[in-house]
Formats: sequence, C-alpha cells, structure tokens
Amino acid sequence: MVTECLAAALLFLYVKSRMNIRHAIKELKELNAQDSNQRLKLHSPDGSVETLLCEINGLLEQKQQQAIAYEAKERDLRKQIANISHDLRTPLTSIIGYTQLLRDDRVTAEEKMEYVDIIESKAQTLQTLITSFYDLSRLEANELDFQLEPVSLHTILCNVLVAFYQDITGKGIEMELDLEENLPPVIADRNAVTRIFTNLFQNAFRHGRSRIRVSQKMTDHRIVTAVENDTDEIAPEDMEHIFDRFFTSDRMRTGQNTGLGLTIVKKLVEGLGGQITAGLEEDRFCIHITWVNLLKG
Amino acid sequence: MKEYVLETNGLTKRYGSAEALSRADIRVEKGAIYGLVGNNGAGKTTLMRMVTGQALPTEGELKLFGASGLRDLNRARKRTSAVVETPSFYPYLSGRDNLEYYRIQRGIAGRQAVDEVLEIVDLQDTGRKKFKNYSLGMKQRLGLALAVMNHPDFLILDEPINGLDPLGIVMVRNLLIKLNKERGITILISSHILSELSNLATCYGFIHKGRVVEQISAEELTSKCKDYIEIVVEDAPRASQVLEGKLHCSTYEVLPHSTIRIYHYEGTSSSISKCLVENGVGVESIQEVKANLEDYFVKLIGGEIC
Amino acid sequence: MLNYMKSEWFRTFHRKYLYITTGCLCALVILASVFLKVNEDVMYDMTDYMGTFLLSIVTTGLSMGYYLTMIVADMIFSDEYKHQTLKNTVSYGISRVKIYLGKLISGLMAGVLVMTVTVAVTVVTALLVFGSDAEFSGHLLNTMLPKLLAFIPLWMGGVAMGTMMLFLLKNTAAAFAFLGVAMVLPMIFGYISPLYPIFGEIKNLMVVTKINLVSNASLVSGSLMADCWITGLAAVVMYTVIGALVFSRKEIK
Repeated sequence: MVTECLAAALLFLYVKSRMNIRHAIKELKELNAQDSNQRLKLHSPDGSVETLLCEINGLLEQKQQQAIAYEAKERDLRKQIANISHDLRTPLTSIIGYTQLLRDDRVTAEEKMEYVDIIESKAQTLQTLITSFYDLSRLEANELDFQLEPVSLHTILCNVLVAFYQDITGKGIEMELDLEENLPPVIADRNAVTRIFTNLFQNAFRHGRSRIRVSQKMTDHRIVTAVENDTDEIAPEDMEHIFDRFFTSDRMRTGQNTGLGLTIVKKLVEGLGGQITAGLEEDRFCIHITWVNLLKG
Repeated sequence: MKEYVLETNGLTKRYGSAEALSRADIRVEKGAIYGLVGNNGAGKTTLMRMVTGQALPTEGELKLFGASGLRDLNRARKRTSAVVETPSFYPYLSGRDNLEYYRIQRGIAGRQAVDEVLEIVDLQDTGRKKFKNYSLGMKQRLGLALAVMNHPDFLILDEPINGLDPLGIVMVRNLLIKLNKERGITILISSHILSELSNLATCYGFIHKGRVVEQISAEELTSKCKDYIEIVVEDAPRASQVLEGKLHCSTYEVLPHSTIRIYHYEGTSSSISKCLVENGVGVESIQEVKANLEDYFVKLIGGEIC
Repeated sequence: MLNYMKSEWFRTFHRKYLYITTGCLCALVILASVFLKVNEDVMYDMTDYMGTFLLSIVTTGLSMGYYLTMIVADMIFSDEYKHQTLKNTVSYGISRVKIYLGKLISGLMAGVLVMTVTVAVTVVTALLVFGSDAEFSGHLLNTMLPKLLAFIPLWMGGVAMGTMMLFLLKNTAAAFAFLGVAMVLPMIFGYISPLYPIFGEIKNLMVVTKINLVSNASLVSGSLMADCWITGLAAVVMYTVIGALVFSRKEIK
C-alpha cells in the first residue's frame, strides 16, 4: 500500500515537472514570435523550474531594457541631429546672405572685402563645428585609438599655455600658475592630452572675465590638474549639465560656442582612465582632472 | 494591418429589460492609451466587466488579442491585468502577503517580483500593516502594483485616479505614460474626469446611456474641438452674411444673445472685426477661445447632464 | 489549478482561522481529558479504562463533525464575495471551474488536516494523561478508526455542500441553507414520510442519516462502510456539478 502511494507521488511530481517545462517552452516560443512584455510563468508550483524561469526572465528583462535604451538613444540622436542642423543653419544662412550681397553692384570693393572676411570666418566656424561633431561621434563610438605612451603633462600644458598666450594677454586676463615641474609621466595619448588642455583653456578663456588660475600637482599618488576661471554666466542649477552635449551658457545658441568642448574633454579624460569634476564656488568655475595612470617606478 | 488588442462587435448586456450596454463596437489598437469617457452609469464599468470575464455578454462578440471563445479568451486574459472599481484585497492580510497570494496564483516566478512592484508604487515600507488599514490612496497603489506584477501587454483601468491625492495622480500618470512609451503596454482607462484623460489618451471612446457614441483619435479630437473665435455683434444675421460673403467663412455657429462662434478660421480675429465694422456690423466684443474636451463631450451627448 | 490551490493554502496558513478552529477542537479534547482526570475517582465507578473512555467520547463527538465541515468550507472560501476579491482571479483568466474545484479540493484537504490533528491530539492526550490500558488499542483500531473512515466520505459531502452554498449564496444565507439541508430537511422529510413514503426514501439516502447510523452503530459493518462511501461520493459529485454549473454563469462584482 505504501509503495503504491509513493510510486503515485513520484509519478505525479514527474508529470508536473514535465508539464511545467513543456508550458515554458511553448510560452518562450510565443514570446520570441510576438512583441510582448510577458515573462515566463509557472504552470504549477515547482521550486527548481521556478528558479530556472527566474533566470530566463532576467534575460528577457535585460533584452527589454536594451530595447528601451536603444529607443532612448535613437531619440537622443534625432535630437542631436536637430541641434546640429540648427547650429549649422545660422552661419550658413549668413554666408548665403553675404554671397548674395556680393553679387550686388551697389556694394563697394571695400565692403566686398569685408563681406568676404565675414564669410571666411563663418565658414571656419562651420568647419570647427563639423570637426567637433565628427570627433565627438567617433569618441562616442569608441573609434578613436589612443596611442598610449608615457607623456609629461607639464610639457604639454606649457605648450598649450604658450599657444594661448597672445589671446590671453590680448583680452587682458590675469593668469595665475601653480605648476609642479617634476611630475612622473602619465600613460596617455599625447594628442588627446593636448586636446584636453586646449579645450579647457578655450572654455576658460571664452567665459572668463578677468582671472584664470591653472594648477597641476601631485596629490595622493595622483596628479590633479585644475583650471579655474571667474565667470558670471553659470548658475548652480546648470552645473549638472555642464558636460552635456550642446550645453552652452548662452541659451539661444547665438554665439559660436558649440557646447561640445567640455563634452569632448570628459570623454577623453574618461577614455584615458582619469576622472573629471566641475565645481562652482560663487563666481569661480573650476574643472579638476585626476590622472591615475601614472608610470610605475 | 492594424493590430487590435481589444475588439468588440455588437456587445450587449441586458439586466432584465434594461440594457446596460447596447451593441458596443470598440476597437483598441495595440500601443494606444484608450480613454473611455462617460458619465457615471453610462456603461463603462459594464463594458470592462465583460472584457475581464466577470460578466457574460447577453449578445455580441468580444475579442482579446484576436482570440474569442471562452478558453482562448481566458488564455488571452493572462496577458492582461485589470483594476475594475476599487481595488479589492483580503483585509486581514498585509499588502505584501496579498501580493504574494496573487503571485503564487498567477504562477509568477520569483519572490522578488513582489518587492519590485511594491517599490514601483512606493509601498515598500508598509511592513505588516493589514490591508483593512490602508488609505484609499494606498489601496489604489496596491491595485496598480498587482496589475503590473504579471508584466501585462494590456492594462484595463476603471477610474484609477479616483480618490488619489495630487501627488498620487502625478505618480500614476507618469507610471502609465512610462509603461506605455517604454514597454508598449496598451492601456484602456475609463474616467469621467476628462481633463486627466486629455493629458494621457491617444484615442477616445465616448459612451452614453449604454451606447458608444463615438470613437476618435486624439489628433482628430484636438482638431475638432479647436480654438474658436467668439464675437458678440449688434446684428447677427447681417454678421453672418458678411462672414459668408466677404470672409468666405462657413464654419461658424450662431448662438443666443447675438453671439457667433467661428471655427477653423485661418486669419486673425482683428481681420474679422475689421471686416465686420467696415461692412456696418457693430462688434461688441471679440475673443479667441480654446475649446476643451468637456465642451465637446457635452455637445456630443446632446447637452444632457446626468 | 495547482497554482490556485497553492495560493489558497498560502492564504489559509497566513490567517488565524485555521489555527483557531484546530486549536478550539484540541482545546475541547484537552478539557475533556482534564475533566476526566480531575474526576477520576468518580469516573472509576463507571469504567476502569479512562484512556479508552476519552477516545469514545471523542468518537461520539465526531458525529458533530458534519457541522464543522461548513466551517472548513468557509475557511477556504474566505468571504470572497464580501471582499470582492474574486474579480482579481477571474480577470486574470482563471476559469470558473478551476476556481470552484480549487476551493473544493483545498477544503477537503483542510478538513483532513483538521481531523488528523484533532485525532492525533486525542490519542496522544489519552496516552499521556491516562496511559495505555487494555482496551485502548482495541477501541482505537476496531471502533474509532473504522468510524472515522466511514465519516470521511460523509464529511466530504458536507464540505462539498458547504462549498456549493458559499459559491451560490451570500455568506449568512449559505450558513442557513447548510443548516437547512443538514437539519431541517431531514426532519421535514421524516414528518411527512407517513403521508408520502417517497420522502422517507429520500431521507434514508441523505448524508445526515448515514452519519447517525454510523454514530449509533457499535461496529461498522462492511456494508455500512460501503454505503457511506457511496453516499458521500455521490453527494460530492452532485453538489459540485450543480455548484460549478451555476457559478460558471454567475456575475462577479
């Protein structure tokens, strides 16, 4: 009598398991065929099948999240394209306007030269814009290959500073430097570092009113580069967007600022394994870059 | 080929001699948020009860995900979730235990499913509080939690905003929009608070005294209840002559007290007043009015207020 | 349906109802034994075998078990209409038949559980308080257990009837209907049977009648046992078919 009961119980459990698995297979086939939110469910209570279904459902959830992220990225891209069109449209319209003016007989030769200068400068703006977009897109696609070698941050920083020297003195900005000379080399890409410093200075220069402060020193086994400028264009609420694409303090995007400079800096820094933060203290805007890949030994 | 999540053909429900729902033809497209609009007692809940299987139709056909027939309908219902009228749970169990009960019943794998949905509706800190001690807002949220726990493709909600505080309303709205946009969940939502629906629905079904009076997409509706220009004139018949003759405008309505409403007018209100005055029709006042959903609905059901 | 039943069990074990019911029964048993123990000297005039006496008391009490089946059914059915919770189950696409059978089988299992626990407590209490005596195992195996075995199908009929009442009627109405069929109907049939013998026949077939037969019998014969099983199972089938059919067309609020 007892053995019969035991046998019946075992048979029951076996059939139950089989039915659960068959049910799950059927549901999975249906899910693959149609566009559905459903997850796999139990046909009847069963501990181990439940665990298996949980894992599979985890995968399904991942798949759905990826689709959602993909959609979000597509939307983002469309927005970006709209922004790019907007940014390109204004200088282009201007150029077209001026070329039309050039055809006008009533315009003097002097004025025509002036117009040609304007067209050239607008065209250069367009070029810078397009280069920035191109670079950014390649950065985002992780297509830029870094040539990693030991580089001296101090040397590169000084080179960039020298290039900006004329602009800075021309605008009458006070420069304050605090640079450590004997820093250990950092494993990085020379061009990327140059680009980083260039963009940082360009940003400080463009937005700084009267003072720029640069420091680069060894702190806690890491090198920290800080670029600070005083400004009245940024509000505390903007700080969380500071590295966003197309973010500019000028809301109407009327100037020549692409809003991509800092975005590129962040991507490059993080691509090299470093960290970047931005801070705002009263009217002082500051960017800190922490380099971690120091050459050992 | 449009895919319909819900289709009814001639769906009718009779109680004795009274028809709570007469020959309803509804189409809910996949991915839509379908707003079912009607006064209390118009038949919204009756319709929903038949969709969920709580009530059996007297006449007519019902299709869920293309399936009809009792067995297929029940299988299709496993892809749906419904909160019809006030959410009901066992009063002597906590919210968590209630959800666990349904989780086991619906064969949802993994205990964490309960914690996940409680977090979504912000009820994760209720501990062992029994359902009978829940506020109305908490009850509504628990109902929503149950509804999303089985990852439905079709959500049926009967007046889900009822009794919620403003914060709760915002949470529900955002949740529904997120579910619809991100996961493509089709939603059928009924309400008599039209303003809430107007922020949500992509498609409307107007129901009155058991009849589906109209089904219309949100875009069509906005264009139909477009802004109008309302002028009060001295001489309405003359004004209408001028409108037709000089302004070539035929889409207008003459209302009592020499008031004229002009729809679909391309120009400015100042051009209308200028034209009228030039032709000897005095204009007492002119203003641009944004029509709204309520007006449309009231007009649609013939101005009857139940 | 297994998922449904498991969820019903989950709810049953998370409420006090089951524990109170079983607790009360066990308490009664223990009280009885305490009473006997306290009055041992008086009792010893009547019988030398106290343990067995306890068993026999419980065995007699078992006939009351029929009315307990309504409580068991109610425990499982759990006021679904009052709390309007059935709509959550129905709207998910769980068929009416599955719901009905799920609750019925769960009710039957709950009944078995309550009965087993009570009987076990009885036996253990008897042994603990009075120790085994000469007639103990005899009574246990030849009287108590067979009667239990005969009662089981009849109780199953009770659970089936209680379940049907609860599905078709409101809570209080269901309880009265149950009592009506269990107590009133047999009485009425008994009174009118002299005039209309057919009702006498019907009365003889009723579950309650069989219960009384078993209760009064000193020994359960093979034919009586078979009779009980046939009646009980027939009752289960009859009530279940009617209940499920009507419930399938019912509107759930």
